[in-house]
Amino acid sequence: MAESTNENLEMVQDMISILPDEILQLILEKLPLEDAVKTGCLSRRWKDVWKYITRISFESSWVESTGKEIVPSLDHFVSLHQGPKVKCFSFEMTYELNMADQVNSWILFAVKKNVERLCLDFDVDRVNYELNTEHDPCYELHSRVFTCESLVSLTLRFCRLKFPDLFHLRYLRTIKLWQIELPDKTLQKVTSNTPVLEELVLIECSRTFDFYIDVAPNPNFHTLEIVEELSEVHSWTVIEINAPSVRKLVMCQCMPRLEYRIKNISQCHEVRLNFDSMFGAVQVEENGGFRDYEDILLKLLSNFKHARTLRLCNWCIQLLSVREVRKFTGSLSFSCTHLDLYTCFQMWETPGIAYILKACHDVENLVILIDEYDGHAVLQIYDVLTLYDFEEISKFWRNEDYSLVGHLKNLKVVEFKETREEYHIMNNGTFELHTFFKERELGMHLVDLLMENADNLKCVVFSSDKQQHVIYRKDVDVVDKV
Amino acid sequence: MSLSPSTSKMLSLKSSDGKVLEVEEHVAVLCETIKSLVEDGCADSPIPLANVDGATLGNVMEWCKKHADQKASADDLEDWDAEFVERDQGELYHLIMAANYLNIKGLLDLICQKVADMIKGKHPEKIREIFNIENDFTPEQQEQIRKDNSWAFE
Repeated sequence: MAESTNENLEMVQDMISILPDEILQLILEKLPLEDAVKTGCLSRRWKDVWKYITRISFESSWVESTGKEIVPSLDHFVSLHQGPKVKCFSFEMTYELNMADQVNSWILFAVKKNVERLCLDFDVDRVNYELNTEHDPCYELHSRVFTCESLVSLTLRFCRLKFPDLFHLRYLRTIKLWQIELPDKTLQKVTSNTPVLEELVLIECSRTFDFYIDVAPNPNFHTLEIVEELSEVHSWTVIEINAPSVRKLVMCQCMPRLEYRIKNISQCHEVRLNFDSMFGAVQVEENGGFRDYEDILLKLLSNFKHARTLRLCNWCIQLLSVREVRKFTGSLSFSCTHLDLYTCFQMWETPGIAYILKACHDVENLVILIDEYDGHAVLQIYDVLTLYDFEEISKFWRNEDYSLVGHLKNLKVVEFKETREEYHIMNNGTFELHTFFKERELGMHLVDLLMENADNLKCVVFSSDKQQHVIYRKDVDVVDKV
Repeated sequence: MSLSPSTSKMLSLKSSDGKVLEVEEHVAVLCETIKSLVEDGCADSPIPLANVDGATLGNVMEWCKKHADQKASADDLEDWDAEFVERDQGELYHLIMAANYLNIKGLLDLICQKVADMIKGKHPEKIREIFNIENDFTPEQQEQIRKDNSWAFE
């Protein structure tokens, strides 16, 4: 290859080795750690470069590619590292009782080198998933972490937190706690001592008791995210949120608790609910088995009346569908101006979509995010399915209970967005409604209904990650006249 | 149809080999080094860039122009970048040094990632071959290195 007739001098020179140290370190920091360490045997120039890298990450790939265990490897690495600074320090392991001294020594190493991002996973293979961090075997995080001034981001999974009386993390902006028991007042204490905290992520924490999420007021605080699976969370427990300065609330995976008490989120302008994992997680025993979830969801939703941006998952839509068809709906009303809805355009999502569109009377921007229907995302509620003949979808919207006439006065822009990657919305440069919706009738009906009923609608956008097609209202008028 | 600022100010950049390049200011300020000159009011015309040759400066500004384009989507940029880094090692070397000197984090990251991808998962002997790195260890040193590294690999 290199033996071209017109040999460029630079082609045969070793250009990489003459790069300055800091750039070689930058290159090594973009490699898996095992590849970075391996460059030490290339030549004398490369022998010690890896010992100065500032991003250190011992992941499962280390074991897979080197065949060496994480614990002795980390011991060696920590003793050989010579650089004055560590920006990121992370490892993934399965903690065992006799490892405390070693783990402490690694953490002290990182703290001494003014670590900014610390990410410590003590249960990477979920072998301790069912255990409670209040009991052994569980590592108790070295208290020096709580006085590490340089810390900007802290991620912890499966360890015990015991706070010193005095601590102050003045630059800490992100905290992610995973699979950790957080008794009352714990979060209050953490957030009271992190004055610039912006983001708090709680994944599968405090699964066996009522979980009080108190976030101390702080003008920098932005996002609170709660992620919970159905298993291991005791279904009779509640979550209580008191976060006066939260701007964005995100709830993901499942909705396992008996109740969600939202005490104070007065600054919250954006809410995202994504409980689509509920589809696979919930087993229905008999007719009406979803009644409880309907109540829990409706009560939860009633807290978000004042959010400006609302995003609801397909599971929420379907649950609202069931509710609507049973005519049990209360009078929910939202003042959001931006609404995102996930749908697969299954016929019987229709009542849920109708319901939420009517409840969001101020909405100006509506985004319909189209998921591919994989046969999995469906609530199995037989009594409801038999009540309605969704085959005749056009009749449905004529029913005065569901009609959108007189609603959606403020709606300006509707976007139908395909979430599948590489989805082509145009064929040979032409856009066809039928092709875009893949013959899913509900989608096409929705376009018609919005065009008919939303008086101030300016345009409808059809998009994918790569393409976009816009139909302006007046184009439609012209077509209609023709 | 054009959405780009039609009256963007132009800056002249002078490369180490004396070539002068006219660049829109909103493109050139992707280089932090130039941005601070502009902000401090020290952007004399033309701005001399003693460490960047004309050909490399052209390449750098091509990248900046693409990345200053508000209309370019993230996917679009990703594809474009992947093509942009398909160059010989000499050009990559000059781009890295220029990105470092002009302080363009995005471009520096991109090229470093490209070089890292050329190293990733490969045996040391293969890496030496790709980059023409001479193994200058004596047999004794070689043996020592092997022992020192046995904690990580055989």
